[in-house]
Amino acid sequence: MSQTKSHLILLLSAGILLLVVFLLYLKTGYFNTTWEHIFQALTNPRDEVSSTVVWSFRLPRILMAFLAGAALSVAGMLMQNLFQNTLAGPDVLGITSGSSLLVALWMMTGITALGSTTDLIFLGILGAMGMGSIMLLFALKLRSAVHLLLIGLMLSSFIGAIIAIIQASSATQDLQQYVFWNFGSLQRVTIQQIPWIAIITSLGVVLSLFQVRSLNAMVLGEEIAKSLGVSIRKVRIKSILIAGILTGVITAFAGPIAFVGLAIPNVTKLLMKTQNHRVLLFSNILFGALFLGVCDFAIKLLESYVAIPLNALTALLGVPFVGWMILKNRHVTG
Amino acid sequence: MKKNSIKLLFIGFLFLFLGCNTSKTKGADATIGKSRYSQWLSYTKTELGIKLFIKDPDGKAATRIILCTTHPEQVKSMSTTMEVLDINKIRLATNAATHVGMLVSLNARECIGAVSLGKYLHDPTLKKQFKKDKLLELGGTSIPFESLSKKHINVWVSAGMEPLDQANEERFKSLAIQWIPNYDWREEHPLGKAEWLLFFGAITNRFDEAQLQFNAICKRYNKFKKLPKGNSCQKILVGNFAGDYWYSPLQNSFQARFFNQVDFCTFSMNYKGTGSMAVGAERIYQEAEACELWLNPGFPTKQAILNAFPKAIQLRPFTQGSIFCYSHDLNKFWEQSALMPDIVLRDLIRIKQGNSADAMLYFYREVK
Amino acid sequence: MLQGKQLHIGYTQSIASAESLTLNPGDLVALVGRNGSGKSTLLQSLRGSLPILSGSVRIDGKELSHWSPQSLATKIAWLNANFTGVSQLLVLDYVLLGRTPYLGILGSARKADVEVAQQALKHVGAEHLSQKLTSSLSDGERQLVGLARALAQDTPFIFLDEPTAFLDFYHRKQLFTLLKELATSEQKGILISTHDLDLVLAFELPLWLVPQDGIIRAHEPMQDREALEALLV
Repeated sequence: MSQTKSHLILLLSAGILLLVVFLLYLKTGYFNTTWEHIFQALTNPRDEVSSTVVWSFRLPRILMAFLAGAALSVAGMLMQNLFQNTLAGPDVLGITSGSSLLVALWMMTGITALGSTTDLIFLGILGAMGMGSIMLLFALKLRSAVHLLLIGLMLSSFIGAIIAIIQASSATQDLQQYVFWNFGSLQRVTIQQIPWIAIITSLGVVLSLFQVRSLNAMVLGEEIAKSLGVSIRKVRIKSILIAGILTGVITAFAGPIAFVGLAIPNVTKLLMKTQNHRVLLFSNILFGALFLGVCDFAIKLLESYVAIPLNALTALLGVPFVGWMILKNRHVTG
Repeated sequence: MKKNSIKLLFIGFLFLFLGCNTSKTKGADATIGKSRYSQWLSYTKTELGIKLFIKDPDGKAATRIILCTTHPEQVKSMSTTMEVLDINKIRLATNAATHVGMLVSLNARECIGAVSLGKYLHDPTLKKQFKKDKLLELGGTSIPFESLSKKHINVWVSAGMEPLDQANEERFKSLAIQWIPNYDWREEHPLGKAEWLLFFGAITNRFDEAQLQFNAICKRYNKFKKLPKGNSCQKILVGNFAGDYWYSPLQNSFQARFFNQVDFCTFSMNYKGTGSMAVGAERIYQEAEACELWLNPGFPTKQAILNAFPKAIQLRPFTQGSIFCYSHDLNKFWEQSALMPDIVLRDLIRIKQGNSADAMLYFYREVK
Repeated sequence: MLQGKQLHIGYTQSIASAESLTLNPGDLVALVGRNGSGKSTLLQSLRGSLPILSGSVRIDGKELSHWSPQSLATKIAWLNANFTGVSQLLVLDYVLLGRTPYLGILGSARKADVEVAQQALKHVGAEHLSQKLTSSLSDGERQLVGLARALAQDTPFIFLDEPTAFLDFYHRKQLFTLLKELATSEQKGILISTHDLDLVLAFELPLWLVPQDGIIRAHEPMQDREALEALLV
């Protein structure tokens, strides 16, 4: 069987699973809803309990899970490509912490400019892009990706320290709001916000699509990529900006979500057995969405028995899986 | 620093929202002291002073027996199980706002040598002292032994959050600091918690005053308890989301005790347990449909609630009912509420009766 | 034609210099010198990866620094001993990466690109590998596939930086034969840095010598190994 065929089969099954998870998610919950209810609510929402449940609680949450999974995985893919390091991810570059900083400032100083949610979105992206730009300045000066990685890690700690100082001097109730945001939650997003997140995420995906040529060449290492006519500077700038957009919008709405951006790109690479980034891009979107969708579905199923925070579950499910993948493929080396 | 402030927040969060999750094992074994409501503290008066018996709620450590005396030199029969505390010149360190409140109530401010963070103080006098640099800030996650000894701290009153390991025990010993646990936050009865006032009375040589105050609290609380509050069980919503879950108090939790007195009901109070239960958003939405009142969302304004949880707008009390919380002045609540269960009760009764103008409430405010 | 004149090369200070060096299509030139003498630096400078300190490097009469990265990539292909970065990729996809400078904005390979890649594989005698994963290749196969990638880049010049480092004698000889054949049949100008003096002598390759004094010069093919070694001191 040719690789293209197996790719198609994998992607198709991921797509079908995604649909199944989506439908099951809409059906499952504390309220007993029939398929008729769901269909009714989706096509002709009325002022009924089932409509409210679907539109306020189930639909935005599962869509957010899909969007966050996809966006963070693509961001992770870009970062791992840029740093030629499978341990890179949006958090490593300090991009997530950039969002955290502005959100922390906003929540703990109590300054509101445009009104609650708009502020949050705007600041989340601005923070991620700001950190992205700072990383960019370093990226233009530094030749080595390892140095960049180190700078990213250091800046994360630096921002962590600033946030800690803000926390120490902020009023308790403001602190509380930040602590809750910091938990990471897909529940917070409303259906009105979903289109915005979807548009911004799609923008990041489309921009990534224009990067495929360079991303593929980067696989051979920066030196050879350069000899293939790829401008390393431009790749770095674009990768950081796109990862900033994707991570920023998700972090603003859902808080920092760990592990997905690191694990899914690795899993995808191992499953698809390719470094063709056109394939990887779409695979990351589908697998990332599926992973977080399944995670959140599991959380919901277990809700009445045990409370599992999202970040705990992603790690709980993901770590053994990635470990197994790495062990299984340990004979395959770079 | 970061970890610490989060931890502090959680300590507050834990005992205000969640209560505790441990099973209670009541019994008078190993102690010969008495208490009226407290599960973990008992005491007895002796010729030399007050003997305190402090039980470990987790049952891991042996009961601590501490003789608080102004004449330590007269204690002859030194038993191995009993410790002697010289209360002539107490300077203590504490991480809990409740402790501070009790010491303030006994007018024993001069006994306080160190507090968790200055910004968590409510008492104006203490705040002034703090600004004059007279109070040590414990702050970080580790115990600042050097500063403790420099400030002549001789008692560390611990909420028992940090288990006392061998190394720290040695250090405390070498600095002649006595480590005394205080489990007021593990109490389930509001008056049991208030009874820990006697603990501070004993160690600051104000036992009689403490007893007077405590008896008065009990009297007032029980009086409010008997007030008519309307009969049927009024359904209310309690708590808020933390991440993806809403935490609501269980039947025997500290919070539920108050609600029971006022005939407030929330769905989670049908479940046994002393902590709280985590429930998903959909269930809360359904439960909220039957409620007109939402208590303790943890935020002082509706805007703040929305900022943290935009979907609060779907909850019926948010749009069609009323919300009350003590969050506008958390420091005050943390410092004073343990000693004023009667006032908490009175606030709740007034809220229930609709007599809830700001001037009528002490801890609570309507969230707008 | 690739031409270097009055060259001074190095990172911050000159470590080697050359009066005049010329590489013509159809040439297979061996760059020889001891470790650290500046062979790699010269290769970097000639393909525009490292700015020269002074002098000029021209391709078809145009100064190297005036070429855009993408158009330069259609002139010089480059290959080193490491098969870097690639853990899992189909050999055909790997060779297709050589088409990068010719791809459109979305980076998708057209049918013509695939044909070029297949042709390149055929040229190095590795078409049977095309559907294998790069991770399953032997060292010898990797070097062939790497060469196919350089061929797919369709450039008049190919630089190889110690391509025989990981190969056994049989594969080294095979590679040299292949390079010689490519130079003549495809009219490629191939510059190969190597420590394989025996093969260089056996194939009677024209030489660029990088001696320890740092003065690089071109030299006729030689037969005597001792004489060659003497020139490199």
